[in-house]
Amino acid sequence: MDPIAESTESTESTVLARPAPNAEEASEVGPCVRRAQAGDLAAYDQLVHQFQERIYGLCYHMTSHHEDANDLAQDTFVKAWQALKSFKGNSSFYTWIYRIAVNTCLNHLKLRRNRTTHLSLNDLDLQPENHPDLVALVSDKTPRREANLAELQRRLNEAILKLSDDHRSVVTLHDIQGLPHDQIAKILGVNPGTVRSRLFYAHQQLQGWLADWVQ
Amino acid sequence: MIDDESSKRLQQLLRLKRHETPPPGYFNEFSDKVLDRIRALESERAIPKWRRWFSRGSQSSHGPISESGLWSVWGWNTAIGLSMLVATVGGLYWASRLTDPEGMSGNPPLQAASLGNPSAVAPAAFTVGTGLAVGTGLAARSMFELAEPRSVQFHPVTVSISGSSPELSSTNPLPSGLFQLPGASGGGSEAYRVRFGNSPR
Repeated sequence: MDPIAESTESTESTVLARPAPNAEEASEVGPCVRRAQAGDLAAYDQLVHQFQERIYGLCYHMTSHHEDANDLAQDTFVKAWQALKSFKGNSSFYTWIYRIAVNTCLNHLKLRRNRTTHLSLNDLDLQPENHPDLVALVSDKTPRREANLAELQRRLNEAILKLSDDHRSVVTLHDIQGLPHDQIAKILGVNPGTVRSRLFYAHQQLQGWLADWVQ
Repeated sequence: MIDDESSKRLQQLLRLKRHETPPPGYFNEFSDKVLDRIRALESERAIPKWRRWFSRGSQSSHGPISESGLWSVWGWNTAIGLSMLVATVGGLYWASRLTDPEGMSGNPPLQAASLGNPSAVAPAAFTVGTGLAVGTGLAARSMFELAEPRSVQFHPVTVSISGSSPELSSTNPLPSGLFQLPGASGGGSEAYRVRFGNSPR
């Protein structure tokens, strides 16, 4: 079995990439949302606890910057609280708050565009660093045998940061966070076909930039 | 066309990013920070807008407004306002002293132009065709004249209208707007003389 495939499949349940809530989870969200809409902060606290990791993950993968992701995730929940009364339930709360998070990140990226970006990954715990399969992949499966996991991580993040905001959004939501096309379409307010198209072109670019690693 | 195998490997590579997680315990305080910010916003919203306005600039965007901070800013704003007021009044007084060495008491106060007896004042020194002619005396005193040099003397002002004046009508009064000429709207060849309140009769 391909070590990289095994490595990634074994970590499908990683918190930052937790997929959209299932029916049971969604049924728990509804009452909390209604109580929070009535001004119940304790209920909103439950919602924050439920979605904080996914929202943080989205912000982090969109920015590749821990401090920015921290601020943006907080901003997302504060904005959501302020706009909670306008939430009509036409879409799921999950989709709604994801849309707020994506827009918050895109606005931030527009402001940051001229700023020198640097990765802030030192304080993040790259869990599979010691995963034997991944170590094997890095040492055996790439043309640069001397490369290590940090190099892979750096190249990967640099490549993702080179993508346009639209392309990075779909790559983050689909490839990293595991959301289906139709849900991404709802979050971004575009057609599912547009999502597929953006994914296709984003993959093309990433394959060019990461040719050493994917061929 | 993207090779299926490399596409699959790319997606596997991207999924590795799921392992990038914040330090352990990071999320323990996350919701507390969010709720603190929300409470701060709620308490700020409870403060009247005019008090928030005075407190702008000295408060952090996340913190509540304290009474001491509020009044220190209030005092600062008041001091700036008073300074600007004193500077304005002083400037006006100084300008008036430059204009009138004897002080404002030497001249009657500014007043709107009044129509006097047409025969009491000589007509305008010059007229141009059928248009509007303004006397050679200085124009009506205005705020702009306060900046005139000391040598300026004020004289009676006369304004005469001669001939038919299409420029003057009820819908097109004198451009200065300082006085009105009753009857001017009818045009004609009558000459109107306008005398200011401070001119001799």
